[in-house]
Amino acid sequence: MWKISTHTRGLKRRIRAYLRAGRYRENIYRATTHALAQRRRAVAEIPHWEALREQAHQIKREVIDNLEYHLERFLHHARQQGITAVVAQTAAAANAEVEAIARRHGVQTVVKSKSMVTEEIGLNPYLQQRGFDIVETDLGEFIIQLAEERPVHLVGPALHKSRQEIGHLFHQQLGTPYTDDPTLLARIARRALREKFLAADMGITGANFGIVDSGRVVVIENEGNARLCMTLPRIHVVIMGMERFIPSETDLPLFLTLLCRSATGQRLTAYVSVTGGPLPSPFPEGPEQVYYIIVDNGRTRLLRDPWLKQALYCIRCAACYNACPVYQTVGGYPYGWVYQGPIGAVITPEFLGPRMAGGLPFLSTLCGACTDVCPVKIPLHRLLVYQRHRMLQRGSGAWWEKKFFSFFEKLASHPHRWNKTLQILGTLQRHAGIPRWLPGWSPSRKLPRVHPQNFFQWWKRHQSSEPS
Amino acid sequence: MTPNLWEQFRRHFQEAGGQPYATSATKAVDMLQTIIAGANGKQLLFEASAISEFSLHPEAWLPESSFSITPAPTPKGWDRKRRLERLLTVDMVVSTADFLIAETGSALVILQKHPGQWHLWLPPGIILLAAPHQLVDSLPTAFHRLAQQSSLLQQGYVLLTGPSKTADIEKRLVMGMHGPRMVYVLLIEDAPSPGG
Ligand code: SF4
Repeated sequence: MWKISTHTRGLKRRIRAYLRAGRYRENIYRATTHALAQRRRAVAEIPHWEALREQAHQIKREVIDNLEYHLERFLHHARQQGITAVVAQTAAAANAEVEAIARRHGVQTVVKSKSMVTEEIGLNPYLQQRGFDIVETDLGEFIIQLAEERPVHLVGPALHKSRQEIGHLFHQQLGTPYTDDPTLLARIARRALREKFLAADMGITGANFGIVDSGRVVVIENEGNARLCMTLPRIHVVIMGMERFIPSETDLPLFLTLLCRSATGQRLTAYVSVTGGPLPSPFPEGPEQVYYIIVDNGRTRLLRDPWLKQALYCIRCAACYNACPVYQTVGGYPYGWVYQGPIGAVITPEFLGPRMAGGLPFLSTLCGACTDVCPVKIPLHRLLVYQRHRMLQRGSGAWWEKKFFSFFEKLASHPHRWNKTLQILGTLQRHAGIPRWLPGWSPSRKLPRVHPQNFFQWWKRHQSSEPS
Repeated sequence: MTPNLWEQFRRHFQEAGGQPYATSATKAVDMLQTIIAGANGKQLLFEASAISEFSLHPEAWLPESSFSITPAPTPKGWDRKRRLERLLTVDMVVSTADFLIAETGSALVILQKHPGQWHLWLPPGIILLAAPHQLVDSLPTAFHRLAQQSSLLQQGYVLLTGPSKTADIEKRLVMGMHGPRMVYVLLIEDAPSPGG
């Protein structure tokens, strides 16, 4: 099991470590820029893209504002189809629910497709510790599970790994001859996982969307492993965050268009499954029992904040990860937890608390690239500023920083003092070359020069020289 | 049929790694034989509805030992393990698509119309037959038409856009990760539309 290591004090150390990890950074940069280019191409095909974003924003706003109502209706429609649907308030409750289902049905082997919420609740280690064989079946997640690491990206969990590393990993863990050919590596994984699929009694998937008016869930993927997880084993368990709803099946074209193009730059992923309840005999090629576990685990806390509840509109496309210059540079690991990139920096402090994750909102240049690409128009850079403010109010931040800014506030709020300071600084800079050095700035950039004239002086002169 | 729609579908399906073909009803069997031979398909599985809808009569052009039909006439004695083992020997499946969506190059399959469903996900190749009236321009149109068949949606539906694929290793595209590696759509250009 990987440990939570978001503690603010460790953040800078982790960033420094990953800044030195040459190959890791190279792979992350290549993958994110590639994904961005694909997205750009796919988005350019839709002339009314901005209108679609706005529409999706409005739909998600309505859903989140009335979440309790939508949740109740979703549960009702799901149960009508013979699905057992429950809400788990905490991660522990969700894990215990899965365990109870597994024990009830005498399950030993569990196959699982990629799901961030199961990472969030720590489902794999929970089940492993209790003796279940739980296997990740998405190729990226399978690699990560074999390497005993954690996903580095929402869409590409193993995008930091080179094919040589994966070749060695398969050789060591699966006993197959070494190869670094991606096609052969994929074939090795397919063969190993087929056996697991055939032996599994339970399949666990996440859900990209829960459709309120039908009680069905939507799973989007490229490999076909989720399709097998939900149809080969006797039991299918869907674990989803409670913000995942869209009102109606007629909203699906909109959200499919936005999600697939933003996430992978595809018009549509290879499989979009809209699943229903257990299949009736006489052709029981599908699960005998279907369970939905809808996870709160702190989401209602986000819901109470008028700003932060916008983070619940997220459809987990990872476009903001790819667009973020910080993520492009250091990748997902320094964030230390499941959700990374700009959206991770906004929501992780709410899940783990300011002591553990209060530093994350500062992992941003506030350039706004994340907001520009977000398909549901979450104002991510504004939420980051909002979170910074809250973190500082709660007492995180260095003492010298607080002192510096209270001093700065005193100077900047008084024109006379401000002008005098600038004058002195300008003189020192011009005549003595002071300051020559500023930590974190001067090694990579030139220091800005204080202009001999301040704005008011410039304005006065400018006005007087203007022809009347 | 609107040739533009087929052209758009063809291009987008191909870009997603799928293999689109169009032919007439009289040449459908020839075309199937060409596709099957090209994919080196030895063991075939036909969906009964595909046979009847497109008058395929496999018994007339295939040796009896090389194909089977699903669902079998008597589903009694259905055994999960046996069924899976049987499916793992199949090279190619001949089934039908319920819609073809030009905007995305996707085939939509309503599961209730395909009794049993593992045959759609497990074998390495799948051929989906379709008629021109099943071609639609966009996702919203497909979902609008889907809503008119709500009684058939109880078991859900799947949109297939090309073969199963992964780019999890250094972003290199590999086809056939867990599902079919070869996905064909065969449009029968002169297949009649229902009631017409
Ligand atoms: S915040 Fe927006 S861009 Fe980021 S993952 Fe969520 S939906 Fe995608």
